Amino acid sequence: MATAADIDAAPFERFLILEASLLDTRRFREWMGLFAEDGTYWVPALPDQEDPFGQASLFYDDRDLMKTRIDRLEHPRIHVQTPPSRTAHLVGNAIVEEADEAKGEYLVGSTFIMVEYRDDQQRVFAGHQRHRLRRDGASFLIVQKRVDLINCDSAFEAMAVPI
Amino acid sequence: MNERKGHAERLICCYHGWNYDTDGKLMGVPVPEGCCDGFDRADFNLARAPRVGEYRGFVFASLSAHGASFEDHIGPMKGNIDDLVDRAPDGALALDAGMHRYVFSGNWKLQVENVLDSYHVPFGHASTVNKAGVQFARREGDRKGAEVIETGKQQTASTWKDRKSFTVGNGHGWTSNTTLDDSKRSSAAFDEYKRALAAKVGADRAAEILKPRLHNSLIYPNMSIMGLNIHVRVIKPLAVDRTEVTIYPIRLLGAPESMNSGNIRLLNVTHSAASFVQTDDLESFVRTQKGLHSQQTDWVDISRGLGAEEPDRELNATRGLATHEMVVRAQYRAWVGYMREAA
Repeated sequence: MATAADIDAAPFERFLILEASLLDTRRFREWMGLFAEDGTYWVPALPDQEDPFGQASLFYDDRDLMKTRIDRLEHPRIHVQTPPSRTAHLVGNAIVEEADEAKGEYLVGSTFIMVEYRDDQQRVFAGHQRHRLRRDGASFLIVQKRVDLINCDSAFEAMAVPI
Repeated sequence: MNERKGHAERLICCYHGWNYDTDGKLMGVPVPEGCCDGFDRADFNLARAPRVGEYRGFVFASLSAHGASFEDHIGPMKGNIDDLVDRAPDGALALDAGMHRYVFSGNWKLQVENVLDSYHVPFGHASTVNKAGVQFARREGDRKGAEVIETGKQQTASTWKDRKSFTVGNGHGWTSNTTLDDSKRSSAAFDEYKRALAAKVGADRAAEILKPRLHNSLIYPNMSIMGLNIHVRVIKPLAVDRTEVTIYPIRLLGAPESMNSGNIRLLNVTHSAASFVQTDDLESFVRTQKGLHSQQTDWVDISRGLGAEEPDRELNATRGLATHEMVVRAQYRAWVGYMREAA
């Protein structure tokens, strides 16, 4: 069996770039469609946070919460998105950290930078992300996306769009 | 101190190495032979908060040596703290589940006013309400959230309009429970919690404790307790137009962990910097601050319900409707008093 280090990261990186482009173009429903039915999106509020259950997190959405979040993002009276954010993601340094080819499950680490502009203000989010992916035909489904912001435990101005 | 948490036996100044005991006593001064005659370490202890008080584990500190006593200031709000702490089967809370921290470019009083304001909800939080006018569920065991907007009418739900607010002096206040139906509140975790509480305090007392009396309580000037998805909030002014808020999820000791973790998860949704509820408030605060900065409008009207206040003898409080602004007037009355004292 091939070890994770032998696996070409390029197809995974292409998937991550596609995912980021859906966020940058505000196609949030299509973005949600990349997640498995049991998929979760997690942005911890602590470095090295062990789990999302015993400690506060910035985001911890299952598909139900993701849908509520996106319903709100599309609501005409979401004040914190009036005007809406514009974002640009840069994703790189992708590496397959774990692989189970038999099950078609992979853990892919990468580094990201997201610049957000809204209402005359620009700010930068950056960190490391880990995607737990499940092979789905020619593509993948996200089982978990974990985003570790380098400043995850700082005080933030309001955030509305997923990172 | 440069770390948010940790353990140390001595606090050592990074600059010249003066070191202090954890109670602030100066223990060591490097190169002591350079100190002048009569130098006494006891004169150089770390500053103390002049006044400190504690109630049921909550520690309050004042940086002023003068002012109302702890008892006089906090006394009228002890029942609100009891209402929270008594919910724990073991009679104690743990604030060890991390924190949410957010900042906004606005004055601290905007956040303080907001915690007891029931007038803004259908408008400020329109994006959290579905087509039936109902918000998502916010408590363990609830199948749906509060009705906020009257179905089909695009106006504040009558159940919301009937909510009450209370003041007890010193700027403090609270709003009464939402109109959620507690008889239908049930889940495996919540039912187990009810059993755990009843086992500790008896069924009658447990039923009394669980009666939803409070929505938000404000312990003026800078702390609030929320009863709906329980948390404690501390509001810190950084500048006249910049405020930092820390929100602590609460674990009820003796409650099932699944109930506590359910609350921690809900709080991510309602009050993290990326939450569905808090973010629209923050946007409102920022826009309000910008508007006030213009100085072209010389009014901020907080007269809703003026003259409609009535005494609540049972609670030893003054009662008004929660969509009125009695609580805001009470806050500014206290604030003006402090400003006069300071002047």
